[in-house]
This record gives sequence, structure tokens and C-alpha cells, in this order.
Amino acid sequence: MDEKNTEKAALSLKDVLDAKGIDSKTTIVDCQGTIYPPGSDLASVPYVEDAKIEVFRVVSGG
Amino acid sequence: MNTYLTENERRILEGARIGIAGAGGLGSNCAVHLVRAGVRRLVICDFDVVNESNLNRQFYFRDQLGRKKVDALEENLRRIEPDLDLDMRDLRLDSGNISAVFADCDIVVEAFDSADAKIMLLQSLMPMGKRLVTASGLAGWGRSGEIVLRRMGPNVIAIGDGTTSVGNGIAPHSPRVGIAAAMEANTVIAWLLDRPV
Repeated sequence: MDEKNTEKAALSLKDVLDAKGIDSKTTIVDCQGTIYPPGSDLASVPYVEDAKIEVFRVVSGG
Repeated sequence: MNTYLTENERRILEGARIGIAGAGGLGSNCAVHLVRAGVRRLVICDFDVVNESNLNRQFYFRDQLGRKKVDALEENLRRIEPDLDLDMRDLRLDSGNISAVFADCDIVVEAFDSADAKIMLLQSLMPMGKRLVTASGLAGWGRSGEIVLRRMGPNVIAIGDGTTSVGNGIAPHSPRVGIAAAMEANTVIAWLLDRPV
């Protein structure tokens, strides 16, 4: 019997943010302290599925 | 004096030095909350003057229009508590001076209005391991419950809805800005008193 290929495709930070409805047009800060300026290539940033990633979008106002 | 504090709490709050970057809607109101809570030592920086458009949300009064914000805010804070150790800087903060200005502060509150300045502060102070409270996404009306607190690692707390930017017809108003400013101050106090944020 052929086995189903159950290997998951690797997720990127862009995948996670797309699911949250957050695009890369604004600056993103993650809980590791990494700052991603607008236009960053978030598709190249790997997302560790079990890691808790909190992201914060920086916009003007204060 | 906050008569609700224990002697130990009073000692802790009076001994702390808190930096506030910006004396606008976030900074002025955050400073008021901190002073009312019992904080006595503040370093507050802003280069701007009080203008008409500020009065809808910033802790200034009509007879202070045209005055430097750092001077007007010092006056207002001392009306609440005269015995304060205030280092008010009429200064535009940038990546070249911000680390030195807040070097002796236990916690720094980000209270800028521009996104670029917020980024500059985070990029400059996060690597130092300084405890920071930042705010982003607090314009408009309503949706109070969307102004939340996010823990960005052990030393950084981010407050706001992370979405609602000033611009495109959306303005900053006292209620939402005030909520964020109060949450920034509450976070500072909780950190100082080792309570859950």
C-alpha cells in the first residue's frame, strides 16, 4: 500500500502573519526582539511551529 | 503622597528612575499616572511646544499654549506632587543620544507619536536589555478591548491594538490614548513592585 506523504511544508513567518491578516507593509517586532522593517522578506524567515511567536506591528500615534 | 502604599512599596517607587520618551498624549498622561502612583524620579524628553491640537488628549491646559512641553509638564506634575526629582530634557531623541539619556533609568516608556521614532527606540534600547514599555495602535474611537498588552520577550511590553494608525482620517483621541498611557504606567508600577503585568 502506498503511504501517504504526510510531511508538512516548512512554515515561514509570512505564512503565520498571513493567517493573522498582518502584511509586511508595517514594521513587525517579534518576541525575540527582532525588528522586521517594512518590505522585509518574511517568507525567508522560518517559523518554528511549536514556538510561541508574538508579533507586534509598529504604527504611528501617541 | 499615595496613602494607599505600604512603606516598602513607597520606598521602591520613590527609589526608581523612570524614563519617558515623548511628552505628548502617551507621555504626559503616563507621567501623571506614575506621579500619582508614587514615582518621584523621572527623565522626560520632548522637543515640542504645546499647541491647540494637543489639548484633545495631552495633559496640558489652554493657558500653556506655546510653552515648551517639558516646562509645562513639569509645572503640571509638581502641582500634583511638589517633591519630585525631574530631569526634563528639551531634546529631540535619536539613535545617537537616546542610550545616554536613559542610561540611568530602570524602565523606559516609549511615548512617541511617529512609527519611525518608536522603531528607533526599540532598535537602540532593546539590545541593552533595558526594560521597555512601548505602545502602538491607539488612534480612533471605541474598541477599548482591543488595546491589549503583549509580552515581547522578558524585557519588553507592547501595548495597543497594533493596527490603528493615525492618518487617513483617523485621529488620536483622549479616551483611547489615555487607556494606552494608563496601561503603560500600570506596567511600570507592576514591574517595580514585582507584580504580574
